[in-house]
Amino acid sequence: MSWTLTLKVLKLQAQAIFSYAFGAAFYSALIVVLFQRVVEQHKGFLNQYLTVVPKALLRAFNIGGTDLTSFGGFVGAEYLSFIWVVIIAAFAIAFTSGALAKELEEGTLELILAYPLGRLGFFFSKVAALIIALAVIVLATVIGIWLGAVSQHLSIGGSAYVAVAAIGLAFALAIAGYGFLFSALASERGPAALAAAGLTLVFYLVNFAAQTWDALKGLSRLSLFHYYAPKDALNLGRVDGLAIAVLLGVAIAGTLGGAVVFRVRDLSP
Amino acid sequence: MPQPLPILLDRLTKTYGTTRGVRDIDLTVERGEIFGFLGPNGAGKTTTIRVLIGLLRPTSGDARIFGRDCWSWPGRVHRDVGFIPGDLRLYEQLGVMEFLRFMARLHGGVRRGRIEGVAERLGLDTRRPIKHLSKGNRQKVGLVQALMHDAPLLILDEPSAGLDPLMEVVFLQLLREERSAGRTIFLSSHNLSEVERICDRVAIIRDGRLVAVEQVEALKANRVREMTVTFQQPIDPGAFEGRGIVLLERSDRRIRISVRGDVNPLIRLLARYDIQDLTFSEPSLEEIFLHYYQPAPVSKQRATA
Repeated sequence: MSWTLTLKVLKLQAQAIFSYAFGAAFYSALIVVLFQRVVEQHKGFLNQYLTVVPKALLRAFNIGGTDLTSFGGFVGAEYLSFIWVVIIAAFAIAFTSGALAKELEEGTLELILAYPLGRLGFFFSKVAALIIALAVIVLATVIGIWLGAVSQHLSIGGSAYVAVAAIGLAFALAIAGYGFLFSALASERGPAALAAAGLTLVFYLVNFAAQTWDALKGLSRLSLFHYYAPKDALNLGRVDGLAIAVLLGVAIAGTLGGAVVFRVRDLSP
Repeated sequence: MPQPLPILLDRLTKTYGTTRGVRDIDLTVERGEIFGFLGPNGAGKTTTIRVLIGLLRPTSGDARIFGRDCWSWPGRVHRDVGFIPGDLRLYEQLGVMEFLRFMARLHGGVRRGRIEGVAERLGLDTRRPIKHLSKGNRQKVGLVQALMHDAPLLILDEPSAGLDPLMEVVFLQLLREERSAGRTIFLSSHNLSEVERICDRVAIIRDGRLVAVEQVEALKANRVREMTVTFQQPIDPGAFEGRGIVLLERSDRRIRISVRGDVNPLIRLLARYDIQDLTFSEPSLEEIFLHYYQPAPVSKQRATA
């Protein structure tokens, strides 16, 4: 791979990375501040509210069975389990579809692949850039949570930050993994992005269905969302090893699959 | 042990989808020559070049650069290649110099002053953003990046597209200098006069098949030129028949003729008349195929010089 290319990609994407990172950090801090205010002043109301809201709606927002009065439960429910997922998935899918399929569609690939880095060098240079970009956004998210906690004098253990960063990054990398696979398969950006977004939606719906109907409960393990539990990471300060293994497994399988496809296919605009 | 050839195509066939590819291309390019790859649009030039660059996998046959298979070892092959694609697309977000330095680093670096030197020869302003460049200036950026590496083999797909005639002269001079420095140049074009001016040998491709491989001198000697002559006084058009001349149109003061090969006998004949106007038209590639390659069988030869 080529660090020259990786750094150039990061430079070209710097504005987007900064925007996503800043937004993620700002929203994290905001939610933590909100948690302190809401739980302090409206704990009774919050519990009452949870009994009124339809369970299906809570599950639809990936917060079924969550104790909203706990730090992890509130931050997870209000941000990390749904809104943050949309943010990180949008970034990962936009990046991966742009990394290969868009370059092929726009014709820039033809010139750069005539350089000595080779197809796999090109591919993994882009992968490295995305890993760094996702790490920056995840780190910004965690920094936002930390800043919010500090500002509200909340005592959150360091292991909670590490755990939520680990599960968040693993989840983002899993989406990026199949994002790269679809991008390697496609010749245009649109279909690549649509396929990756569609699969993410399918994972989400499978998880929702498994939580809603007992008969489908067993299907939950087929969804990435089953393994992504940021509220537990924040509350318990640890992550399930199996969850990390599954998410990273999807990330690695998708990325390697993308690499193989990109290496063997014809690349002609 | 003989040194490997810069380019070797051995029964190269590439077919894909509904688009016509190329079939059974046999071709070798020798070290230090400028080799023209001539054909009309859609003939298969770019497909052949994309196989050479490793973007397309051959359906059958072999494509090698300096002895290495283009599909199996693209990264290694590309160390020896400077390339400009036929449909050049650049990274719009970059400035010209930023782009060129980036590409230079991808190639492992270039000689100090090389970028500036080539850019200056082509009259390229390297301070401008790429997105503000005209088509001609974008082409210059592509040419600089192809030449700046001092690669032993240059593969240039329609390199003069978008250049004005004066800049085309400069570009062709640059290519001659590259040849003098021992580099090999594989140049595709649909422009016969460009190929004639610069190339040592030329391959002609049509409908995905190699029609001929010729020394350029032989091509020139056998080419058919079309000429229209208007005379001051009425003449006998029959005087112009024979000696490689074919009368295409005739009237008492104007003739349109085609002449094959040496034009001197025709010039001497014309000198006997008072001429009001005389025009030569550049034959299109299709006309070359029609006049030069028919009805005789195609003069395909394996290009092992």
